[in-house]
Amino acid sequence: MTPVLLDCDPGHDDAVAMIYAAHHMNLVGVTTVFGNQSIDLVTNNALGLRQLMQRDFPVAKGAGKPLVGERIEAGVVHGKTGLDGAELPTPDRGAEDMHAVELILRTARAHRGELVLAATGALTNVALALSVEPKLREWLRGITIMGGSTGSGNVTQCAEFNIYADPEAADAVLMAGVETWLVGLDVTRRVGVGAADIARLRQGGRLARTMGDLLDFFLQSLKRVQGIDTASLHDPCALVPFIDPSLMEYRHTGVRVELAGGLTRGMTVAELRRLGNVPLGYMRPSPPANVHLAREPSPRLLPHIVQAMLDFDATLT
Amino acid sequence: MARKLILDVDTGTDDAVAIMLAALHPDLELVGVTTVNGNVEVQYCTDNSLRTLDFIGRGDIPVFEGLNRPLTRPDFPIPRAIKKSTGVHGLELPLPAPTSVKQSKAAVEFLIETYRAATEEIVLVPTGPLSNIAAAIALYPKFVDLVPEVVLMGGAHHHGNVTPSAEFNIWADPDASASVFAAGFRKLVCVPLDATHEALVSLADTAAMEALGTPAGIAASRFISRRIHAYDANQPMAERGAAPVHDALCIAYLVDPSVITTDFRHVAVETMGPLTMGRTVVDTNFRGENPPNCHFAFHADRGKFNAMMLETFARTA
Repeated sequence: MTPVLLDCDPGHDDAVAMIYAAHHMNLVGVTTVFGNQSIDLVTNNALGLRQLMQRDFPVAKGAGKPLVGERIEAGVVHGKTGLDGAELPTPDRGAEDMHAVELILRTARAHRGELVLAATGALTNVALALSVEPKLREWLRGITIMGGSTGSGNVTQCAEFNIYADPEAADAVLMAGVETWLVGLDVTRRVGVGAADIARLRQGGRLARTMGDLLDFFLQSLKRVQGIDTASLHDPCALVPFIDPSLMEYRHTGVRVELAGGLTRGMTVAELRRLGNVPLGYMRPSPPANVHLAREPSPRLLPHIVQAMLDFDATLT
Repeated sequence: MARKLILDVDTGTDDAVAIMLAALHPDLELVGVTTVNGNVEVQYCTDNSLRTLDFIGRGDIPVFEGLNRPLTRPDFPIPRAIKKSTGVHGLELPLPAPTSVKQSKAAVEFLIETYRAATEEIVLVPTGPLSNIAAAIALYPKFVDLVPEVVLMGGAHHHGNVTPSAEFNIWADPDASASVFAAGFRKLVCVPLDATHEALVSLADTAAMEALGTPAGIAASRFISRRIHAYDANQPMAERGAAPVHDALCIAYLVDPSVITTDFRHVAVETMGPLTMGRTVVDTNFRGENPPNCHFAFHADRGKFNAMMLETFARTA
């Protein structure tokens, strides 16, 4: 099974990603980064989730603020703990006595050429790790990210939360020269869990019931704030290329992050034009293709994610 | 009673089709044409507008020459066709040289005088860079209140054409564009690439236009076939042998609003970001603080658009 380290800010959909990764891949570690809540709260959540999952992968706490500037306030959709809606079991051990970046480097060194780094929060830890150890580029099999959007954002008109939270880090990661997959809001918005699936989860064992309760809270917040009737499972979508690539269509293209725009800071600028063989004088050439950009989710993706939670739950005592 | 309009153009093959549709449609009265630097240098825009009107027997419609460069950033950009005279537009349209001549008055003076004197509503339809319109606002701020409706071609939400995130007309004079969107026009309708790329015209459609045997049918067929061959070579649409005829869609909207589908949103223009300069920033999800100011077209009805052109180009002046 492919080893994966998940760098995240749990967060309801991060929790789903953690289980999806543990069920279908070899989840060898979790690192945390500020985002959906403060770094301390999201780290507690990661530890509680590990306990719920009855696993012993290491958890390490990472960056509490972006490379440049200050932490932006998260929205209300994840609640005051960052993971409202259910009581998680009390962890019987804490985080590793090392920074997330150290755990990323140790893990990548141990799984040289094989490790997938999945990032579902701000990209601060990942950018720092790539800066601290240039050889990390060669050690990783790939980086796969939930972040950005083509067209519309969520935190601003143009920018999605994870990228906007640390645009400089995000651009550095996209330009690092590691094979990279990116799934944005325009796609993950179409992978939404609804009331029927939540009811199914609530009929399972403890983990499934907990996930049902968490996702119900998430759904009710989104209903209230955004008026939508499914809860988008953004983060697990990042794992798709290494779990079942047939669940998503990708386009290999150029993606950069706008850093200096007046209205557009933090926007992922993706090349989606189709340019022919005869260049026109006025058309700016395409940037180099650096990212496998998710374009189209399969209708089988959401059921696959829900089923993974039920199946993982069934393996627990 | 026919709806009056003024066309502000950078003719340009699709501008020429827009001129013919406006000059020949029985529900419209084309009061005048103003030209602006854009697809080609302004003197060619003027000449092309005159030859188009002469060819269809509407040399009575006055043409006024406007700004020969962007309002700001005078060396930004080059006109589209200055380096290559082939491609989508060419310098001179493939019609006989005009016998009519341009008016001596400057376009911006004509615009201000006409609106100051108007006793009936005149819709303003800019289909090139917005330099003339921004200049009119700068000279005479009340201009904004005198224009009942602006229907412009420009902008893009999902992807641009000149850059991955920007469309040519808006990008070509970004500060002028920003001032027009922010001006507070009573009604502002924006027809962006998102809509025009759905209203494709195919070689079968141009063959039907040519078969009409009318001057407008013959000219439209010539212009649009040229566009189709150029698009296939340099920015192919999902369907080969078809191209958008952006500017004419604005005219079709004046006759039948159902030819496009709009959302009422706040739209502003990015003027600072190096990757997003000239992007129309559409607040699709109401994440900004500004109330809607623009009816932004996300979709178009290809069948209705083509049927209207075919019916109108059967007419002679």
